[in-house]
Amino acid sequence: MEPLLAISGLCVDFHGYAGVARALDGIDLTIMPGEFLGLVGESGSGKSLTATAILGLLPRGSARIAGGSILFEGEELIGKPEKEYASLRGSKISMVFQEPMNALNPVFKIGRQMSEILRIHRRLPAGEARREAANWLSRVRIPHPERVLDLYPFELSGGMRQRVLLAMALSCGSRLLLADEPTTALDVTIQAQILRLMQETAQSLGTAVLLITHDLGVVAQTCKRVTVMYCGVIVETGPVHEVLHRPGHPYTQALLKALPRLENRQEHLQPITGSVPNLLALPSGCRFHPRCAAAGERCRRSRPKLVAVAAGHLVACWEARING
Amino acid sequence: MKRAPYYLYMMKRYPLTAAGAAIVLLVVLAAVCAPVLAPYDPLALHLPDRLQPPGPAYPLGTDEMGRDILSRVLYGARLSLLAGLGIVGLAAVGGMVIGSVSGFIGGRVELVTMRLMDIMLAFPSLVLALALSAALGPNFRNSIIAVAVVKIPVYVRLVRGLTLSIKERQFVKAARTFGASRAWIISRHILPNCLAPVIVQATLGIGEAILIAAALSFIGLGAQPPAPEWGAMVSMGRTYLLDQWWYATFPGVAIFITVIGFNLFGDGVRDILDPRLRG
Repeated sequence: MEPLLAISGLCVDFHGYAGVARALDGIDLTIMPGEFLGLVGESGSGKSLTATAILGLLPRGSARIAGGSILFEGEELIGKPEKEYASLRGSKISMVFQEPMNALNPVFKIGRQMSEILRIHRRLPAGEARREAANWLSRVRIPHPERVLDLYPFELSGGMRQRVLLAMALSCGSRLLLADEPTTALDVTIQAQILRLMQETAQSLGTAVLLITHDLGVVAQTCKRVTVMYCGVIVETGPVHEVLHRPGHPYTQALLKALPRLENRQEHLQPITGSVPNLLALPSGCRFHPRCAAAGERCRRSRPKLVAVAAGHLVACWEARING
Repeated sequence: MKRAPYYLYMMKRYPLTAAGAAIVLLVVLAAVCAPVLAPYDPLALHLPDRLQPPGPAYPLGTDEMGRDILSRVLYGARLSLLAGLGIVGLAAVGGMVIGSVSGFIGGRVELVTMRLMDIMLAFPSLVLALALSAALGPNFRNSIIAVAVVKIPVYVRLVRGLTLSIKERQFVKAARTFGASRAWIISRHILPNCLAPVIVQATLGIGEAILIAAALSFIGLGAQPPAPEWGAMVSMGRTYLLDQWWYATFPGVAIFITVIGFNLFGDGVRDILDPRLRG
C-alpha cells in the first residue's frame, strides 16, 4: 500500500541575526492511510514545526525549507502554489491544537464558524451547512447540537471546545489529522475521553492521525507506531510496544524513566539532566551525547544514523547498534 | 433583566454619560423633528423683521435677512449630525481597511503606509482639512470628505495595532490550517475583533469632527450660506456681535452643547466597553 504521507530528508532552516539555525535536520516520516502515528519529544525538539511544515505554514521571511520532500498521496507539497495548498488545508489535511480555548474566534457563534469551513471547502449553501454542522457535533457526542450551534465559544468548556474543533477538522473529509498536543490543556479525565473520541471518529472515517505529544502514556493508549524526536532529528521509531518495552535510544529510555508509574512505586522520578541544546551551537556528533550517561568517544565525534534493531524498529545510537 | 430598572441603574452609576446621552438624544430629536418643531422655514426671509432680538414672534431673534434663528439652529442640527457621523464613519471604514491590510501583510507595505500616516498626523488637523477642502472645492460634502481623510490616520494606527495582536492569536492560525484565504481572515477574523475599540474611538471622535466641520464652514470652506450650518451662522453673525449678540451666540451655544454631549457620551461608552477602566 502506498503511504498517505511520506516525508524524506526534510530540513528546515531559520534565518536570524545570530545565524542560521537548522531546526529540522533530515526528517524521515511515513504515515499509512488510517494509521495513528505518535510523534514524541520535549519542547523545542521540532514536533510542531514538522506539522507546520506539512501544512506549508512556516513563518514567511524567517523559516526556509532547505531540502527534502513531503509527498502527500503521492504529490509533492513543497513548492506547491499557495492557492492549491490552501484548498488542501482543512479539506484533506487538517489540524487540532493544544489550546482549544483560543482556537475559536470569540466573536462568532459555533454554528457560524463550523459552517464557514463547510462553505469554503464543500461549497454547501448556508442552511445545509448548518444541518451538516449539527450532524458533526452529534458525531463528536455533543449533546443538544442544535443548541450548541447558537452558543459562543466562551460558553463552552475546554473539552467541549476541543470536540467542536475536532468536528471542524474532520468535517470536510480530512485524510490526515495533525493533532498538536490536543489534550495537554485538558484535565486527565477529559483527556482520556477526547483521545478515545478522536480514535473512534478517525477510525470510522479512515483518517490517519499524526499525534504530537510529549506524553508517552498518551501514545501508548492511542498509537500503533511512535517516532521520537530530539533536537530536530529522529532518534528512534518503531511499533509502540517495541519502543516502550525495549527502548533502543538512551533518550527514549530517559523519557520513560521520567514517567510516573503506579506499579513500581518509585519515590522520585528521574529527570533528564541538562536541557535541549541551542540550535545555533549544536554539540558535535550525536546531539544527545552531552546529556547521555552511556556516551562514548565515538558519540562525540560522529553522528549515528537510524539503524534497524528489530523489524520496523529503528534507532539512531552507536551504543544501541552494539547492543542490538 | 428588566429594561427600565437597568437603565436607571446605569444612569445612577454613570451620571455624566447619562447627561451626554440625553444631550445626544436631544440633538438627534431636534434634527429629526426639525420640520415639526421649527416655527418658520429656515430659509424664509422676513425682510421687515431684520435683526430682531429674541421675543415672542422669534424666540431666538432673526438675522440680517429676517430669517428665524431658532428654525435655523434646529435645522442646523441635521447638518452637524450628518457631518459628525459622516466624517467619523468614512474615517473609521477607511482606517479599518488600510490598518488591517497593512498590519496583516506587514513588511514594506506596512512600513510605507504607517510612515505616510505619521506624516499626516504631523499636520494640525484643521490646517490639513483646510487645504484639502480648498483643493476639492468649498462645499458641505467636500468638507466632510476632507475632514474624514484627515482623521483616517487615527483609525489606521488603532486598527493596525489591534491587527498585529489579533493575527498572532490561535484562532487566526487555526483559520489558516482550515484553508482560509488572507482576505477571508481579515474580513471574518481580524475586523470583527477590532470593532469594539473602533466604536469607542469613533464615538469619542464625533464631537471633534463636528467642531472641525463647523470651523471649516466658519472660514467659508464648508457649507455655504444660506445653508443653516452652525459654523457658517456664527461666521455671518460675528460682524453683528456687539449690537445683535443673539445672531452669533445661539448657533455657537448649539455647537458647544452638541460637542460636550458627544464627548461625555463617548467617554462613557469607553468606560462601559472597557472593563479595566470601570471604577
